[in-house]
Amino acid sequence: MSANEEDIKQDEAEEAPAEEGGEAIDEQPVEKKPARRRVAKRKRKKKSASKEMTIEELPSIAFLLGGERAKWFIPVCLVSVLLISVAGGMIKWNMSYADPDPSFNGTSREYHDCIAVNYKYGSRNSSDHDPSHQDNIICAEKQGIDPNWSELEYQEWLNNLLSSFASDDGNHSGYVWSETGIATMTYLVSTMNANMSVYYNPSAGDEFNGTHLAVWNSATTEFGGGNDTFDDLLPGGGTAMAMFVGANGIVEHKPTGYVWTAVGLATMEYLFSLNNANMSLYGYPSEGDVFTNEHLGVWNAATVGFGGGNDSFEALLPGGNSSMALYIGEGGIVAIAPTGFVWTEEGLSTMEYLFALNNANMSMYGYPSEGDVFTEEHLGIWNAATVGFGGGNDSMGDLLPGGGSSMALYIGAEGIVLWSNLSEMPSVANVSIAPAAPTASDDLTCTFDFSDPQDDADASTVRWYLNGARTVDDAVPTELATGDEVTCSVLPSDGTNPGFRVHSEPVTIA
Amino acid sequence: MADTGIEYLDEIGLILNIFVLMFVLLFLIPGIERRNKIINGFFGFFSGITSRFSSSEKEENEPKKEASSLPTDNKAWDRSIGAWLVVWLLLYLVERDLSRYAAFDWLNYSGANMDIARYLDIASWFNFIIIGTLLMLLIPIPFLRRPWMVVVFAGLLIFARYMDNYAIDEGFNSNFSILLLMMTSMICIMMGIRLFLFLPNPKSKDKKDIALRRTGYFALGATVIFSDFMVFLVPGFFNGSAHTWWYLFFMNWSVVFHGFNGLVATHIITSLIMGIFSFMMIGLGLAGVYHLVLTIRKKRTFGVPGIFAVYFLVMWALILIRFITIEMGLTDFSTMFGTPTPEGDYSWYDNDGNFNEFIVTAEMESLSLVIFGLTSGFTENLIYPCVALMHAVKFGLIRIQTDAEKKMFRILSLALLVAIAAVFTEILQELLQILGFFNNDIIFALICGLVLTTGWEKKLIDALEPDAETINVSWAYPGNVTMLFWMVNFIVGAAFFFKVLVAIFGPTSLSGLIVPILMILVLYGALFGLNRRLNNVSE
Repeated sequence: MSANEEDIKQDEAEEAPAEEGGEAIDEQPVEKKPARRRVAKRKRKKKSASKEMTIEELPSIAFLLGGERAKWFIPVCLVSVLLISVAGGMIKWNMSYADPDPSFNGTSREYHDCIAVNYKYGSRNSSDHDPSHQDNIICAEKQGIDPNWSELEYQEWLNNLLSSFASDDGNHSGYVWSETGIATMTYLVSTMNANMSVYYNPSAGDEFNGTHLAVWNSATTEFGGGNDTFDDLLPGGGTAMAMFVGANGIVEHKPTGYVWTAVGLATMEYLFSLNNANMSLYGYPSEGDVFTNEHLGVWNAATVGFGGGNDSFEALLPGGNSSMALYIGEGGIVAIAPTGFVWTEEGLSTMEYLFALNNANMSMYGYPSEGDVFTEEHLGIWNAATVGFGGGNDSMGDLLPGGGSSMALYIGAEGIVLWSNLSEMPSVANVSIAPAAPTASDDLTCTFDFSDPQDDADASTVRWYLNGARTVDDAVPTELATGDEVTCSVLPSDGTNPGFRVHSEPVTIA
Repeated sequence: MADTGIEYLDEIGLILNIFVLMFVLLFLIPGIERRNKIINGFFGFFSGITSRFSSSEKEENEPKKEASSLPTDNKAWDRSIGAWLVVWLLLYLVERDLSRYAAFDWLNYSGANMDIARYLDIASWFNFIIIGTLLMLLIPIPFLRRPWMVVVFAGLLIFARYMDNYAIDEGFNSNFSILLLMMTSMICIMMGIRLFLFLPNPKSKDKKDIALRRTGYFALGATVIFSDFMVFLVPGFFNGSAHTWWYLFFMNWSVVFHGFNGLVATHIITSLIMGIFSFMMIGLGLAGVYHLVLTIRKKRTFGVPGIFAVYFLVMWALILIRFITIEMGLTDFSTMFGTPTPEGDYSWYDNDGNFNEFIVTAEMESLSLVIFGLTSGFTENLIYPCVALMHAVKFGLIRIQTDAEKKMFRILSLALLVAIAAVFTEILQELLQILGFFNNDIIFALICGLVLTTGWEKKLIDALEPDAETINVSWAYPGNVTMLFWMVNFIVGAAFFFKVLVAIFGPTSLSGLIVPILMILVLYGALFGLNRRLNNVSE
C-alpha cells in the first residue's frame, strides 16, 4: 500500500460513523463512483472546504419529538400539560367562580347565566334593554336587585360624579373636543354598547371640561388608565389609553383667536437659543397651532426679567406694541386665527360710511382690508358700537349678505362679511398679471393657481384695478396709457365656499 | 426617576435589530465575492481614517488577504429558507419599533375603516406568528412535508385569528389563535425538553442522533421567540392573580354575553394556553437544570443546550422577581397591559357606586420601571436580535467563512454583548439605589474593566460560531424546494407588505385595498423574474 493510499484510508476512517449500530450519513451525490476517483475528489474538497451532506430519509415526527423514548415521552408531556392546565384552571375557578355571591339564591350556573340575562335585558347599554322582561325579573329577584338596576345605578353614579366635580365644570379648561376625538369616542363607547350621553353628547369644538376629564379617568381606570391630564389627550399625548385613542388625540386646544406663525416660532427658537432653552415650555407647537392662554402666561413670565411680562395677545401681532418688540421680528409671534368670516369691500365701505356719520374711523377695527379675517374682537366692537342703534347682539352670521342683523337697514346688500367653511375653503396662489411687462396694446390676463380640498371646480371671480380704482363691472382695463398701474385680485370660490381674496403685484404699462 | 438608560431600551433594540438585519442580508443577497469586497471596503474605509493618525507605512506593507479561491456559499433549501425567515423576523421587529416614532407615523394606518383595521390586525399578527411557526415546522427538518401543507397551515392561522375577531363581535373571548399557536409550539417544547433530558452523544455521527440534536437546538431557539410577555404570567396562573387572569387577552367577559357556558369556554381556553406556557417554563427550566447538573458532574459538555439552560434559569429569576415584588406590594403594573402604573392617586367609582382609591408612590413607580425593563423590555428588545443572530450563525443558516466575514461577525457580536451588559449594569445600579445599597459609576466601571480582562466576551463569541455538523448536514425536502422557497417568502412577505402599504395609502374603503394588493403581486412578479434572469433559471 502506497503512502497516498494510507492517507486516504485515514481520511475514510475519520469520517466513518463513530457510534455502534448507527447508520452512516448519506452523501451527495449518491451514485457510486470508482473508488479512486471518489477518493481523489474527497481530498480536493478537504483542502478547500468541509463537505456538505444531505440526508435523504426524513425521521418520523414522533421520533423527532421524543427520540427513542417517544412512546412514553410524548404522552407524558401531553398529560403533564393537561394536569398543569387543570391545576391552574381549578384554582382560579374555586377562587372566583365556584361559589356564587352569597346573596344569590341559586347555583353557580344560574348565577352566571343571570349575569348574561342581567346585561342583556337589564343594562341600559344593551340594545335589548328591557327591564320588564320575564327572565330579567326572575334573575333580579334571585340576585335581590331592582330589575331596572342599571338605570338606577347610572343615575346615582352620575350624580355622585358630577357633584364631586361641580367646582370644575365651567367653560374654562382651554380644551375642546376635536372631530377625531368625537369619532374615536363614538367608536370606543359603541364597542361597549354605551353612548356619549355621559359626556352630554358633545360636538367637535365643544368644551372638554373638568367633568369630562373626570368621567374619562373613571371609565378608563380598569383598563390601565385613570390618571390622564388634559394634555395627555392632545394629539400625541401620553395617555395610558394611547392604544385606543390613536395619534389624533381626543381634544385640541380651545381656540383663542390667535395662532403661532412660522416667523414667531423661528423668533422664539432664536431667543431660547440665547439661554440654551427650548420650546418645550410651549409644548413644541407648530405653525398654525393655537397660541393658548397658557402660552401667553409662559411668555409673560419668561420676559419679566427683560422688562416685559404684561403683553396681551394683540401685542404679539405683527407691529404689536409688545415691550419685547426689539426682539420680536416684524412678523410678530402670533397671527389672528381664521374664524371663517372675512371683511368684504362692501362691508368696509358700508362701515366707513357709517363711521363718517359720527366722525369716527376704522381704527377701532385695526384698519382692516378686504379679505382680512373678521375676528371675534371685531364682532365685539361692532356689537358694542351698535348698542345705541338698537343692535348689540349680532352673531357673525347676522352680518352675512341677507343676514338677520338688527342693523340690516344700514348694511349693504352684500353684507359686512363673507363666510366660508374653513375646512372646505378653496384658495388661490401666485396671482399675477400676464404679460409681466405689458404695453398699452397688450391684452391683460390675471393668472392664478386654484386649489380646493374637495377638488371642486374653480368658480373664482377676478377684479381689476386701474391706478388703484376698481374698474366698472370688474372688466379688464383696455384703454391703457403709458405709466398706468394695473392690479388684479382673485376671490377664490368653489361655487359654495369663498376663500380669502388675494391681490397681484401691480404692473406698470410701458 | 432620572434617565437611567432603561427608557432607551426600545431604541437600543431597534438599532441592534437593524445591525443584525443588515448583517444577515449581507450574507443572503450578494455572492461571496461581492460580499467580501463590500466587507473589505468597509474595513478599508475605517483603516483609511485611522491610518491618518498612525504610520501609513505599516498599512502599505501589510499583505493583501484572500486574493483568490474563496469558498462557495451553502445553498441547501433549509438554510436559504431559514435565513430568509430570520430576515422577515427582523424586518417585522424593525417596522414595529419604527412605527412607534412620530417621524414614522406613516407606518400606522390612519384611516377610520374598521374592517381594514381588522385586516391589518390579522396581517400583523399573522406576519409575526407565521415566521416563528415556520422556523420550527420547517427548519431544519420539515414537519410540514409538502408545500401545500404550508399553505393549509397559514390558512388555519389566518382563519383562527379571523374567528377571534368575529367572536369578539359576538361577545365571546375565544383566543383560538393563541391556543392554536401554543398547541403548535408544543412541538418545540417537547423537542427542547427531550434534548435536555436525553442529549444524544455530541460526537455521534449517526444520522438519527444528528437529527435529534439539530431539531432540539432549533426547537429551543424557537421557544425563545415565543417566550414573550406571557411567560411572566406563569406564577400568577397558580395563585389566581389578577395580573394573569385579567391580562388583556384573558379577561373573561364572555360571561356577560353568554352566561355560564361562555364563562366555562373562555376559562378552559385560557387555562390551556397558560397551561402550555407553564409547562414550557417549568419543563424546560427543570430539564435545563438537569442538563447543568450533569455538566457540573462532568458527564456532559455545556454546549448549545447549556446556553439555553442558563437562559431559562435567568428567565425564571426574572419571572419570580416580578411576581414577588407585585405580591409584596412593592410594584404595581396595569393588569391589562403589564406596564408600570405611573405615580399618582387613583380614585374611581365602581359599579356599585362605591368610592375606591389606590395610591402609587414614586418609589413604587421607580421599582416598577426597573422591573419592567428587566422583564418585558429585556425580552422584547434585547433577546430578539440575539436569537435572530444565533439562529442565523450558530445554526448555520448563513455561513461565515473568510477572515473578513469572521471579523465582521465578531464586531456585531461584541456590539450585542456590550449593549446587553450596559443595560444590565444600568438596571443593576438603579436597583441597588432603590434598595438603598451603595453604588457608584466609577466602581461599576472598575468591576466591568476587571471582568473584561478575563476575556469572557471572546469565549462567548467563540461559542456563537457554528459546529461543522451544523453547517454541513441537511435533510432532503420531499416536495418541490423551489416552490416551497417562493411560497414561504410570498406568504410571509405579503403579510408584511400588506401591512406597510395599507398603512401608507390609508384607504378608507375596502376597494382601496386593490392598489396595495396589486403592488404586492407586481413586486413579487418582478422579484421572481429578476431571480430567474440573474440566476439563469431555465425552467
